[in-house]
Formats: sequence, C-alpha cells, structure tokens
Amino acid sequence: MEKRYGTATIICFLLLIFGFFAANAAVPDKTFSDNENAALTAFPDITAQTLKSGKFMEDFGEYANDQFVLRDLFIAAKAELERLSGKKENNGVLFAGDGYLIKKAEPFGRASRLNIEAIEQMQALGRYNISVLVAPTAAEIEKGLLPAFAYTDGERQLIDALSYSAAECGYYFCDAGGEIEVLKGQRYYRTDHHWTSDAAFAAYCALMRGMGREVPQRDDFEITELSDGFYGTTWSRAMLFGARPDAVLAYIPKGVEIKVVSDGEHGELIDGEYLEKKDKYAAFLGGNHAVCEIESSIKDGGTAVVFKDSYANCMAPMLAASYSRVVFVDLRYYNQDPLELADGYGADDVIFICNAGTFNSERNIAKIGAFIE
Amino acid sequence: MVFSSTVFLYYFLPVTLALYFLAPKPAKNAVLFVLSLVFYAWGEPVYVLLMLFTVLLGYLSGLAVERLGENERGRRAVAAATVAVDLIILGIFKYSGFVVSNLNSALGTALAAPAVALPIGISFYTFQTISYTVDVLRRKVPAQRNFISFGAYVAMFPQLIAGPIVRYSTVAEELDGRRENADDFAEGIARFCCGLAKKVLIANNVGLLWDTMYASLGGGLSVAGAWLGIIAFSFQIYFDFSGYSDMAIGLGRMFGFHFLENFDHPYVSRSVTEFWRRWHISLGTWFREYVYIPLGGNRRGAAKTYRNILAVWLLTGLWHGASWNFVLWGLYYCLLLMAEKSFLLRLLEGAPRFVSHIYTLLCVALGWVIFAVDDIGRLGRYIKTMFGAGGAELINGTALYELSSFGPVLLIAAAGSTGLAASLTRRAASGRRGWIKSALCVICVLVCTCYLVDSAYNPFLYFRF
Repeated sequence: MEKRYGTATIICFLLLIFGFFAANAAVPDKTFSDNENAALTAFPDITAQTLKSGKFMEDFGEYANDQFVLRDLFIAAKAELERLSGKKENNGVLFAGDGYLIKKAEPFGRASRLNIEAIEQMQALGRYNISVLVAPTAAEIEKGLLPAFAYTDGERQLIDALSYSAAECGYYFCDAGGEIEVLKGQRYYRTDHHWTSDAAFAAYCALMRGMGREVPQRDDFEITELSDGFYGTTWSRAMLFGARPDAVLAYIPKGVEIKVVSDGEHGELIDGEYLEKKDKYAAFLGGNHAVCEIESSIKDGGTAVVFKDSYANCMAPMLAASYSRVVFVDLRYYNQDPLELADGYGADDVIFICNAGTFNSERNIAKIGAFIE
Repeated sequence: MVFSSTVFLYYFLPVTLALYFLAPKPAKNAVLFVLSLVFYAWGEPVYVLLMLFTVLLGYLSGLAVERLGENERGRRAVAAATVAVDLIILGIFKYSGFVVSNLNSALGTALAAPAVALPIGISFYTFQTISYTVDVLRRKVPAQRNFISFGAYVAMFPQLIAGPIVRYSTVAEELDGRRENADDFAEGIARFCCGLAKKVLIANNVGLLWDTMYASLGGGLSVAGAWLGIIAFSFQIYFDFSGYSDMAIGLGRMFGFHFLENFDHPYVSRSVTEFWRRWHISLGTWFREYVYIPLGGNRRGAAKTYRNILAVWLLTGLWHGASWNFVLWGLYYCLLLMAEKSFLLRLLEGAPRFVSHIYTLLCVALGWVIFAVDDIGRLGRYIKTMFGAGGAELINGTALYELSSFGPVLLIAAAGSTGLAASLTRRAASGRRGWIKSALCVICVLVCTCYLVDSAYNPFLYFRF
C-alpha cells in the first residue's frame, strides 16, 4: 500500500472506531424504542455474581447494540442493503408490491391443532354458543403482491381445518377471507401486520350475519380518520427509507354511548394518547389488556365474551353496536380460568377473534384446554 | 467475545489500541496479555483460570526442558508429561461427555457424564502450547524466559478463539523483538475489514439459507433445496472461518505480528489433496509436524503410511467436535485421500480442469453435509434427499423462493471464493487509486455495523472445536 493511502486508511479506521466509542459514551441512553415498540436494554449491573456467570457480558452486548448511536438509521440502512442485494425479505417481513411490507405466513402445525382442539373441547361442554372468526393476514389475502414463490399455504390449511372442525363439532366458523378479498381499497396496512378497519368491518358484518344477528349498516357508523402518519410493526422490522405511511380509520357507532373498563380501570375506546406515539394501532382500546369490558347503551343486546388478539381491537367499537356488553379477553395475558370468567359474565355468545398467524404459531387458545376436565 | 460484535469493534478494540500504543515498549506484552485475558473472560469468565493454568504449565515445562540440557531422557519425560496433562485437560473438557454417553449406550450403564461446558478455544490454545513444548524439546526454539511474553503468545486475543493455530516458532522472535509500524498497521486494518465483511456480510447471510433448508428436512425439503442448503453451508463455513482468520491475521499485523496464512482459496482446488493444502492450513501443518511425521510419515512403507494417514484423519475429525459425525467426516476424508494417493490423483491430473474441479467440489460439499448434520439419522435423510431418494420433490416453491432471494449473494460468494475478488481490488486500487482501498475499509466497517446493530443472526461456529 502506498504510504499516504496507508495513512489515510489508518486515520479513517481510527476515526470510525474511536468516534463511535466516544459518541456512544456521550449520548445519553434511551429506555424505549418507539420504532420497535420495545424496551431497550439498560446498562447492566456489575456484581461479582453477574461477572462470574457471564450475565453482565451478555447483557452488555445487548446494551451496546440497543443503545448504539443512530441505531434506527443503521437498522434502516441494513434493510435497504438487504433489498439492494436482491433479498426479498428482512427479519421475516417480505418486500411486497405497492409498498406493502408483509409478515411471512406461519405454517400450519402443532400450535394450530392444539388451538383447534381447545375450541372443540369447549364446544363439547355444550353450554356455550361459540363462534370463531380467524382472519387471514395480508400474506394470504394479498398474495398477488408477494414476491415470486414467496406464498406458503399455512393459513389456507388452517382455514380448511377450522371449516372441517366446525362442521364436525357444531360451532360456527366465520371464514371472512372471501368478504375481505372482494373489498376495494386497502385491506391491510402497508406498514403493519394488522388489517384495516375496512377489512375488520367486512368481517364484522359477515360474523353478525353468520351468527344470525342483525346485520349492521355502514351508515350507522361515523368513520373518522385517526391518523395518516402510521408506520407500523412490519415497517419496524424492515425500515425502508421510502416507505409511505398508512392512514388509520375508526368506525364509531352513531348515537351509542360506550363505557370502557380496561383491567379494572377506566379505559378508552380510542385512546388519543397513542396517536401521538409511533404505534397508532394501539389507539384502539389503548392496546392489549388481559380483560377489557365494554358496556354500550344498546338495549337487550346481550353479552359477548371475546377471546382475541389485537386484530379484534379495531373491531371493538363495531361490536359495541351489536351487544350491550362485550368482554375482551386476551389469553396471552389472562392466566386464570377463562371458562369461569365467561360463566361469571353470563356470556350469551363466546367469540374467538384472532388472525391466522397467531393461531398457527401461538398456543394461546390452547390454554383453555387446561381448564377443561 | 467475538470480533463480529459492536462490543469488540467499538469498545474493546479502541480501548485496546489506545492502551497498547500508549504503553512503553517493555509493557506492551503485559498489556496484550492482560487484555487478552479480559477478552477471553468476556465469554468464559471461569475458564480463564483453566487457560492460565495451561499457560503456567507450558511456561514452566519449557524452562525445565531447557534446564535439563543434555539429559535427553529427562527432557523427554518432562515434555511428555506436559503434553499428557494438556491432552488430559482437553479430554476432560471436550470429550468426556461423548465417551461416557457412548460407554453408557454400549454397556447399558448409567454413568453420569461430567457436567462441564466446553471452554471456547480450548482446542486452539492447547495445540499452541503443545507446539511450544515440542519445539523446545526439539531445540527448534529456545524456551521463553519471560512469563508475560509466553502468556501473551498463548492467550493473544486475535487468534485465541478461532485460530489460526500459531506455532510458537512462527512468532518466537516477534514476541520480544517486533516493531509495530504504520505499513503493517494499515495492511492489518485492510485485512481485518476484509475478514469482518466476509463473516458479517456473506457467512451470516448465507448461513440463514442453510438454516432454513436444514429446518425443512422432513417437511418440504426438495432435492434442489437440499443442494442449495449445502452450497449455502459450504460458503458459510468458508467465509466464516477464513473471515475469522483474516481478522486474526489483520489484528496480529496491527500489533506487529506476522501470522502465517490459514486459507488459500480452497474452493479452486482440483483434488481433495489440494483442498486440504489450502483449507485450515495451520491445523494441517500442526498434524503433519506433531503427529504424522513423528509416526514415521510416508517413509516406512505403504502400510505404515496408510496407518499414519488414518491416525491423522481420525484425530482431525475428532478435533472438530466430540460427536460421531466428525469421526465419520475424518474417515471420509481419510478414504478420499488414500484413494487419491494410490491412483485418483494421477487420473485427475490428466482430466480436463472442469472435471477435476467439479469432482473436488462435490466431495467437499458431501463432506460438509457430514460435518454440519450431527445426528446420524438426519444425516442419512439429508443425503438421501440430495440424491432424490425417499420421494422428495425435485424442486418446489420454497427452493425457488430462496434461490431468487439469495441468488445474488451466492454469486458474490462464489466470486469471492476464487482469487477474482482480491485481484480485482488490487487492480482497482493500484498506484494513484490507492484511496479506493481506504474507502473500501470505511464502507466495510459501516455496512457491517448496520448488520451488527440489527443483530438478528450472528452465530459462532467453533464452539465445538
């Protein structure tokens, strides 16, 4: 290497490693990453114990990454570099057409079977009026936008298995996929793994129709735009520089008074606080709670107990137009006997609302099985 | 600690460089020794004591062997005892679980395997100290009188956890008489950056492809997918391992050491014999110097030559991990090398280039299957799938998708496996365009940082060595 270029290499390299060393030391630590919607690792405790076990070193490694200066920029650049290198995905999120970032579909497997089994067991008790709404995700409905050969049929298999199980065991399974598919306009957020309120409304109508309840009309709802600057979870995992933000709509029933109690405290149907933050979808019900109880001014609508994941959150205002009382239970966070809870509320209807991805990959509904003798 | 981490790059390295170059000359080895212990303790806080014991043992026995002067039997006894203790330690920490579980299944006993974890890098530093003891015994090098210098040699962080296996004779003079200089430092940086990019940008990248394909064995793995998977693994292990060696050589250079090369474009080889001359050279050299030649090498007739080859390759297999698949892997190469020695090599030399090249790549890829799959049942199923037995589809959507996603990276890896990448850089950055090399270093570090900060996948492959 010619002398002066050698010197240039040395200077550049030392500037880089000492520069970032100094910058990391100087910039104060953050506790939370809005982009990733996750807590960031704090400087770990140094004790004889954590040094001996190596826990300090392990945590320090995470700390160094979590608190790295310009962390978001580096992560975004990595996603962009992956795309430039011909990759069709980053961190499990597919670069789909029209600017969609779509979480890969989960395969149908053991978790799916256990979840179905728990529903069947509950149905066999004979004392519940059970309906199941498992929503396909964008990986299924928007398969036309996926990169070539990226489609896998795990969600399709789940829908088929549920249809079969429902026919065998006698509960109602609402395959809302067809209703969502015919919708014009945006059915899923481009930058988030959730469905849009439009898709949720189509599914809600299908559900009510299938359950034999009064079918809601669009005119009965006030449709408001909560935000037009939403960058959701799939964007957090594949932060492309040019991504367009999404708009978030809410369907609020006209002339219905609604009271929300989340985990025993006063809650909000739409929590405006979250609209100022990054995860704007969390405005619905103020995010996920173990138990969230909604009372509406609807007379004689009965009580529904809904075992759900976050897909049900944007549907909550809609369900409040059909029921006098809706109790949302998130089995990820609720670890007591869910049957006792349903009995306690005197549930007229028990509804499962979640997306096919969680149904295929997480054993949440399966937990119910443990409470059935 | 591993090199491919923000902790190393932006905490350990700047602190180490600052302390090392600020320290006065006589204290430099002490700084290197202590920081190497910190580096090791970062991953193995308790086993650092074990390594210190090995250092102390090697140091004292070296002095003793030299002190015994002309007393050949005494010298041999001390050296043999030292090597035996080194090997016993290696045996206990690396092989006892394997031996006990095999005894149990063979004899139906229920002996409890000692619950020890394998200390990272133990195979590398044990082989280094053995090379020292034997070289002192052979009077190839004088014993190291300075404990700090010897400690710095064994524990030296650049080559501590993933090689190369630096023999003492290679660095004996530089340990006490090296001169750090700007030229070496700049070359060292370039080499380090190259290795970092090989590890982070290519090895980690294609490693994901191998993991995906291997995970789908028994559930949708097609023939094409199985081949794609093992091609990905072949690139992963080469770029990972040679990347580590590059980083080690580069870091050593920054501190004024000149380690020997460890890889020489092994995938361009035209025979398995040639492949092993180009792959993990320091391990091959070590086995030749300290096992093959002492056993008589090829000078005592054909039968003994083949026996010696068998011994070396059984040991080479086991060195890579305490598991039957590594034994099988060693035997596999033993057979190939014997076949080449007896007749194949002559045929290959006469064959067209592409024939011998494809033959070698196929042999090596099959070898990697044995290496990568440590469950014998799964190994059989994977190889069956590769050859279409067992009813696997020829190709399916998963294979096509992964090929379309990883295609460009695989092409880059293929180009990087030959001398092409290096000669292109050399030509592009020659003379007045030397700045290109500096720019490439900066780009490598920044791009790797992007991948390290988004630390989704960064495996360490040598935890079994």
